[in-house]
Amino acid sequence: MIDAFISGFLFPGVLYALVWTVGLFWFFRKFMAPLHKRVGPYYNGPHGSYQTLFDLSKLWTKESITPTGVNPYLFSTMPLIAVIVAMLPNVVIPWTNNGPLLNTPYGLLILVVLVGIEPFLLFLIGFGSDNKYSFLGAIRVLTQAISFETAFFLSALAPALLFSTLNLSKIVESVSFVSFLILLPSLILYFISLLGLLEQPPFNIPDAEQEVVYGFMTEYSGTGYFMLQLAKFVEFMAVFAGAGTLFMGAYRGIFFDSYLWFFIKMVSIAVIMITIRAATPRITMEQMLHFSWRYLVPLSLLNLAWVMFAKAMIFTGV
Amino acid sequence: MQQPNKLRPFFENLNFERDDNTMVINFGPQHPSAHGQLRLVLELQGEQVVKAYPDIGYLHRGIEKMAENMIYNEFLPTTDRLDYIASTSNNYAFALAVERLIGVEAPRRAQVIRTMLLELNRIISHLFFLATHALDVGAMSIFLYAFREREFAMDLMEDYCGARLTHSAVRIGGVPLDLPDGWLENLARFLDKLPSQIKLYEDLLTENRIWKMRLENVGIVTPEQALSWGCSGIMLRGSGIKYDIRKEEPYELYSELDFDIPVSDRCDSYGRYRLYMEEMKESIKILRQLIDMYYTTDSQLMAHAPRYISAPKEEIMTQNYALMQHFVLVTQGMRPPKGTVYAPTESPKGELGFLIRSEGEPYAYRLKCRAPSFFHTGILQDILPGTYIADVVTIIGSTNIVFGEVDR
Repeated sequence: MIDAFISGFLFPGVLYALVWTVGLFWFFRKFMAPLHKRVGPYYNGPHGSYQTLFDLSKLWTKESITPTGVNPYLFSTMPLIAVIVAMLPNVVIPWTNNGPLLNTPYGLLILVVLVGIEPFLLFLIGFGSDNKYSFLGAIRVLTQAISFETAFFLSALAPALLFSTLNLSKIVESVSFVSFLILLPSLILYFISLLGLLEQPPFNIPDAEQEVVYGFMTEYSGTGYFMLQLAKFVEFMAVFAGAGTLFMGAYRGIFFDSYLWFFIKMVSIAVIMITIRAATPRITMEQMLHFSWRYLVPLSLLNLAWVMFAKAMIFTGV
Repeated sequence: MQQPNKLRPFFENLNFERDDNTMVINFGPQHPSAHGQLRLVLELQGEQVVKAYPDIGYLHRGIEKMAENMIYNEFLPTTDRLDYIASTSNNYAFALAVERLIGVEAPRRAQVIRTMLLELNRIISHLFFLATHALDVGAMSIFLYAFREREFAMDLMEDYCGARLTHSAVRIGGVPLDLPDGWLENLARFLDKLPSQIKLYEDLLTENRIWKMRLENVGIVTPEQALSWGCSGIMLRGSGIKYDIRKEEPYELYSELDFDIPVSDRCDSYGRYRLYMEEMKESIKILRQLIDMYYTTDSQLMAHAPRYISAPKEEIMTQNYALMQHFVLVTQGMRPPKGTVYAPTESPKGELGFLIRSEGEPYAYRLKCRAPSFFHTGILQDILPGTYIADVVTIIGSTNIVFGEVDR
């Protein structure tokens, strides 16, 4: 009972997700600032670390405006569902050496399905907003999700093929330095499709502020907006954790095994992501489609062939 | 389009709810990248633009009408509010037109200072263009880098005239103030630093594949289109037509200065972006020459024309006739001779000119401002159809329109 409470509300549960959101949001701002020659959050708390807490609590308590002409139930419940769906992958990810909360042979399948379902919720959010910009944003979410999920699934499949299991804790246990090298192309492909899936530059097409205002989030304010931001950052966590688990051996480290190593791996992915964000402009919709279907998906298929080859020729130990 | 009702204005006749798979959206006036108050009604098929109707008038303040009720010196600060990115170029265009009307030429030191301010404003405006254009295309960092350099340029303007945005730093017949001590050294220091910053922007953008993907072959303005829509400035030179008023009809000191007019025949947004970068480098070259020129001038700042321009302060305080003239000029305003004058200048955006019709009264009978952005807004309806929404933003950014100037 008490274990269920702790895991549901504290460690991989709600509180963990909230703390992660606040921390990552602050880290995004603070890390981005020197790249932009700015200071970033400064006044509240050490290095401005309370700033995001205040921002999120402000959003949380603000009035939410529901526009007329929308279905109010759809409009106000979808963000909540989006948050819940974004949090669910936490149960299958092996955060510490105690293994995941739900030790199932189909962990990888659950992870990719839950990550893959999120864009459809965002599509519904935009579709239900009864706003033309939201609608355009929603269509863009869907197009982008379809284009990048293929590559995402294929690159996430590589470790499963290599280790012949879908069980995430087994994958973590079998990761070695040789397997990391074999899976390096998959990691790069996973990272690129992660950028597309999480709508990060240069693929931040669905919520491109200069084009479609705020995409599917245009009509949301107050609590609804807070929920959507929370869902976004929790999904960051799920996808980063997926990269850490599948390719980098999750909690396994050099001298000791601990959650700390996992955290370092996730943050290093975030650092690369933010650096790309600071350096690149945005590409357009048809360039994204072109890139995804002409380069990314064929490369992912080739990569699978490479993994099969490597498994047969080099990695026969497992 | 439904049948227009002739009794109502055109834009009220647009049907926003359609049944034929097209979507009509209002791109602005509150859109994040509408560059002020542009309302662009776009008819979309999917994400492709079928028709575009630029709608202006959301920033209309009646500045041309105001000019008919103000004496000439009173109107000068109002011109700041036209192209508020580079206000000195508006002040100067107006002052030049009035000077041509009354047949006065500014003394040499005033000319040097004015040309300096004009070129400094060109740098400010081009940096602003680069910042907003990059932000429109999604490059957030360039936005902040370019604004940082623009701040230093604006600090120089502030040191000279006290204002950062609405300068009013030019008067009819000269400039009000001499350069403060140390200003030229600050300017030289700024000019030494700027090329390295421009290189930083170019390193980040010019060969950046995504930047090229977004700008190349986007917003193509053919030379015929550019001429028939009355484009000027970089919109014209970006289409391969070498026309710069600083060279064609030189004003101030431009005939004595050594500078080039960069031209690109790419006709697209990328070519125009390259031109903006090249023009900044030319402005640096011009400013360096002007620093040397300043030291060879004597100290007179305002032209000597007692009928139109007040005498210097010392004379007003000591000589009776100068005081009387000053009193009349301030209370009633100058009375230029009858006539019509049009003086074109090359503002950072293009050809900016004021047409003034004078009936010999202290007030202009009619004042018309020929603002380049107005013509560049019109061309949007010709080049937008067939593009995608993402390119619409690039094209608006690349035309570099400012709504203070369009709506007047």
